Amino acid sequence: MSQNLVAALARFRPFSELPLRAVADASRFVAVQRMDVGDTIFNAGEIADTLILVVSGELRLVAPSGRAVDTVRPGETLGVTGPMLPSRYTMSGICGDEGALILLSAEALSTLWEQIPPAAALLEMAMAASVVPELREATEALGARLTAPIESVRHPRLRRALAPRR
Amino acid sequence: MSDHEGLMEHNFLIDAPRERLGVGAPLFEEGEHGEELFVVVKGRVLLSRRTQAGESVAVATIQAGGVLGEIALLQPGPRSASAIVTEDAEIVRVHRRMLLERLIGRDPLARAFLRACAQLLVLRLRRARDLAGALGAYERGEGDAAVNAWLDRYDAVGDSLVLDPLKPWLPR
Repeated sequence: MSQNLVAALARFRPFSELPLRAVADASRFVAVQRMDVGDTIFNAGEIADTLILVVSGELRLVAPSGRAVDTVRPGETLGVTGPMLPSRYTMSGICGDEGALILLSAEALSTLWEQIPPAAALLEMAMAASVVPELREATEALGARLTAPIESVRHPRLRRALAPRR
Repeated sequence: MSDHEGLMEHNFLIDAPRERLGVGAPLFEEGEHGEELFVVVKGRVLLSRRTQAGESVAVATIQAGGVLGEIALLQPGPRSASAIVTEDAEIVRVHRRMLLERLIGRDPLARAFLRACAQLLVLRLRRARDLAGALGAYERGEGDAAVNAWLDRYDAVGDSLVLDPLKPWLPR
C-alpha cells in the first residue's frame, strides 16, 4: 500500500485522530478518484454514504436551483459520518477545478469491519467524535445569538420553550 | 427524550452492572475530565451548568430511559455540565474503553450502540443548525414562521436536545 496514500489520509480528519497503523489499515479500503472540471461527483437526492476527502482541486456544492452554495477545497472533508449514518445529499457536488478525491464508502467501511475490526472501531469512534466540535460551536453560536442581538429571545414561543422547567 | 430511549433499548446494555445512587450523589462535575456515558435506568438526574457570571443554572432533568455524557464517551474531555441524582437512581456506566474493547471484539451490539450515539449527536447538530437558520430569518425581519416551524417540528424532543444546552447563556 502506498505510503503516499497513508500520509495523505493522515492529514484529514477523522484519520488524523487515529494511530498511523489504523490509518494504514484503513488506506487499503479507500478509493482514489480523479476529477475533471464539470464532472458530477454526486447529485442532490442521492444517498450520501461516502466520506469524501478533497486532496486537490475544488468541489462546488450546487443547490437544486443551480446556485453554487459552497466550495470544498484541498484538505477539507465532506460527509464525515456518511459511511456510518447515510443520509441524502441536499446539493450536488460538481468539480470546479481538476484534482483528486479520496473516498471511503459505507460498503468499504463494512468490509473494514469484517477484515480489521480494531481499525474500523477506531475509525468509527473518530467519525462519531468529529461531530462534537461542530456541535459545540453551533450550540455556542446559538447561545451567544440568543442573548445580545434579540434581547433575551423576543420570539415568545421560543422564549417559553427556553424557560427553566421546575 | 425519545431519542435517548433509542440508546436504552440496545441489548448492549442488558448485562451491564447497575449502580444504585441516592439523592444528592454526584455523577460528575462541570470541567472534570470525562470518558463515560451514563444511562439512567431508574430515578432522575439533574444537569446544571455555570453561567458566565458563575451562577449555576439547571439545564435539564434526565429521567429513566435517558442518557447523559455521550459527548465524553466519543471525545474524552472536560464535562460541559454537572450531574447530580435528584431521585434515587439506578445507573449504568458505559466507559469508552469498554465500548472500544467490545467493538474490537466484533460485538455487533456495541457497533449499533456507537451508531446510535453518533446519530444522537448528528440529530442535535442538524437541529441546532436549523434553529440558527430560523433565528437568522427572524432577526432579518422575515417573520417568525421558520422559528414556529422549528418548534412545531421538534416540540416533543428538540427542546431537550437543543434548547437545554442554551439556557446558561440566557440573562435572568
